[in-house]
Amino acid sequence: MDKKIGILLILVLIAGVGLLFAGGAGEAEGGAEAEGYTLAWVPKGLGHPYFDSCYDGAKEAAAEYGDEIFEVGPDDWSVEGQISVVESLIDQKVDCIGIAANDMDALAPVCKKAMEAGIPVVGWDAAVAPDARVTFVNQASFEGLGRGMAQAMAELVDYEGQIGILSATPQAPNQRKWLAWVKEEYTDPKYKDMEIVDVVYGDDMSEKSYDKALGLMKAYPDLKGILGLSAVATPAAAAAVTDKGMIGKVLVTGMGIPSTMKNYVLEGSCPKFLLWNTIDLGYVATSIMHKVCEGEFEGNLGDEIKLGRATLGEPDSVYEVIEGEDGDTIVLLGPPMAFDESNIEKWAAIF
Amino acid sequence: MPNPIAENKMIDSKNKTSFFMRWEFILIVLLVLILAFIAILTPDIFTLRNLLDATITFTEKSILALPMALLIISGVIDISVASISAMAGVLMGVFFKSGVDLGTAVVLGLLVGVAAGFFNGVVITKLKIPSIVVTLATMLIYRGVGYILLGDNAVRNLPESFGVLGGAYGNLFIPIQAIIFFVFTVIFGIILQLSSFGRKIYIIGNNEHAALYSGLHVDRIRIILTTVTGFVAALSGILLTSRIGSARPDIANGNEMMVITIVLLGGVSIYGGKGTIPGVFLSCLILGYIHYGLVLLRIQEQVIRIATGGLLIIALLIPTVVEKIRSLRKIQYE
Repeated sequence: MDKKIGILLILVLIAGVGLLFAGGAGEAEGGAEAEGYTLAWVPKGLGHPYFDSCYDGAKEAAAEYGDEIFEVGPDDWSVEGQISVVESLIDQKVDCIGIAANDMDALAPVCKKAMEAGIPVVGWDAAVAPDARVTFVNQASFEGLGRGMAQAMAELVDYEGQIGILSATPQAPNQRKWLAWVKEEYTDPKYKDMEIVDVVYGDDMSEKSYDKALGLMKAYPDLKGILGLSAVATPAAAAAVTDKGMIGKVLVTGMGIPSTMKNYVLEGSCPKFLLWNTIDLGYVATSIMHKVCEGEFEGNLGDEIKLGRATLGEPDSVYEVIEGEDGDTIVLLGPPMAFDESNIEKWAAIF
Repeated sequence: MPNPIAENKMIDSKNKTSFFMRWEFILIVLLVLILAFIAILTPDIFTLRNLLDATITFTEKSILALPMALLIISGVIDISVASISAMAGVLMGVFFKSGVDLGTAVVLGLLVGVAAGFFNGVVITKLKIPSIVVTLATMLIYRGVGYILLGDNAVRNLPESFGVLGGAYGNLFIPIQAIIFFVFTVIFGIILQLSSFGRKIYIIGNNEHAALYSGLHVDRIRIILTTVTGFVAALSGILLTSRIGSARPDIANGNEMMVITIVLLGGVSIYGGKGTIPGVFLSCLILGYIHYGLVLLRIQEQVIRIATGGLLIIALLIPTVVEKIRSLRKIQYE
C-alpha cells in the first residue's frame, strides 16, 4: 500500500514538471509564427513603467517592420541574472539583442560572445562597452541632461541652499556621467550659494530610494532640494517629501516618467522634471536593430538611418551616428524634455 | 557483534527498498524526462553543444552542492557560502589591482575561503553554537567585508585570459567549469561513499553522541568539512568573477539557498545522516536543466522560482508521507 502511494506521489511530481513545460511550450510556439527577424529586448529588469514604456516603443517599431520581438530580463535587476539571460538568448539563436546593461563592463564578455556568434548587440538606455555592441542609442547627451537637471534644481531653490542627490546604482555608466555633469555645471559662479551635501544610492529600487531620501532629510535638516538621477529615484524622493509634509520646504526635481510623477507635480512636491521620450527611445533602438539585421547599418561614424516616423529629437526622422562623449560612436535621441503643470496631464496619459 | 563503522546497512535502509524505489532512480527518471521535454519542445536548440554550454550557468552552484551535502549529512549547515564566494572574488580582485599577479591573487582568494570556512567550523564546534546561527552571522560579516573593500565599485577589466576559466572551453570539448564539476563529483563521491572518512560522516549525522562515545573526532571532522566548503565556495566565487570579467561585492546573491535546495532535492535529509553524492549530482543537473529549459521557453524568472520551490516541496513530501504511512502500518500490525 505504501509503495503505491509512493509511486503515486512520484507520478504527481513528474506530472507537475511536465505541465510546467507544456505551459511554457504554448507561449513559445505562438510566437514562432511571425516572419521577419526575432529581436530580443533586454531591459535592466522587469516590471517598471519606465522600461515598459520603452518596450511599447520597441513593439511599435517591430510591428512596423514585421519582426517578432519579446522582452526578457532579470527579475532581480542583477548583473548575474542579466548575463544568464543573454547566454540563453545566444543559445536560442535570436537575430538581434537590444540591451540596457546593468554594468558596462560586466555584460561586455557575454555581449561579445553574442556578437561572435553572429548575433548583433545594440545598446540603449545604459551602454555596454563599445567593442561589445554595434552601436548605442543614447537618450540624451550626458551633458545636456546633467546640466539641464542641475539648472532645474537651481531654479527651484532660487540658487541657494543645500541639496542632496539621490542616484541609482553607482556602477551604471549613465549615473556616473550625469553626476559628473551636475557637479560640473555647479562649478559656475552663479551657483556659489548652493552646496551638494551628499550623494546617496537607491540602487534603482523604489523602497530603498524612498528610505535614502528620508535619510537625506533627516541628516540635513536645512536641506532645500533633492535631485533624483533616475526615473525611480525622483518619484521616491517626491513621495518621501510629501509623506514628511515637507512640500514647499524641500523641492524635488530630476528625471521621472510622467505617469508616475503626475500627482507630485500637481501637489507641488516636484514642480518640474526632465526626461526624454521613452517610447521614441524604444522605437529608435528597435528600428536600428532591424536595420542591422538587414545589413543596412553598421554603426560607423557618419552612418545615417531613416526611420518610419518622426521623433521628438529628429523631426525629419533621420538619425546620424555621431561621436559620443567618451569617444565612442552613438546615436543621440535628442534634447531632454521638460514636464511641468502645463503638459503633465497630456503626457501622463501617454506613458 | 557487527562493527558499526564497517556496516553501512545498519544506517541505510537500502536493503528494504528495491533499486527502482530509490530516490536516485527517481532522479534519473526525472532528468531523462526533462531532457526529453527540452528536446521535444525546442528541437533546434537540443544540441550537445548547447547542453554543455548550459552547464556553465549552473556549475558554480553545483560544485558548492557537493561539500554542502557532506556538511548537511554530518549534521551541520553553512549558509555563509555565498558570502564567502563574494568575499573571495572581491579579495582576489583587490589583490590583483594592487599589483599582485593574477595567479597569486587567485591563490590568495582561495586561501581566504579556507580561512573563512575554518573560522566557521571552529566557532560551531568549540563554542557549541548551532551552525545555522553561526553561519547566519558570518554570512553578514563576510559579505560586509566585500562591500567595505570595494564599496559600490568594482575591479574592472580583468584580463581576458582569466575569463576563459569561468566562461569558456579553453581548447577542450567540454567547458572548463564542467570539467571541474565532474572531477569534484568523482572526488567527493569517492570520499563519501567509499572511504572510511565518509562512513564517519554518516555516523556523526545519524547519532552525534554515539559517534563521540565511539571515539570519533566529531569536532575535527566537522571543521575539516567546513574548511573544505569554504575553499570550494571561494573557488565558486572566483569562477563567477572570471565569467563576469570584473570583481564585485554583489555577486552570488542567494546562492546559498539554491545550493541547499539542490542538496535536499538530491536526497540528503535535512536532519543529517542520509544522502548520496550521485543523488546530489543528478539534482544539480535536474535543477540546472529545468532552469535552462524554462528560460528557453521564455517563462519569467519569478515563475521559475515558484516552480523550483514547488518541486522541492513535492520532492520532500514523498519520503515523509511514505515514512508516515509505513510507521502507521507498523502500529496497526502490533
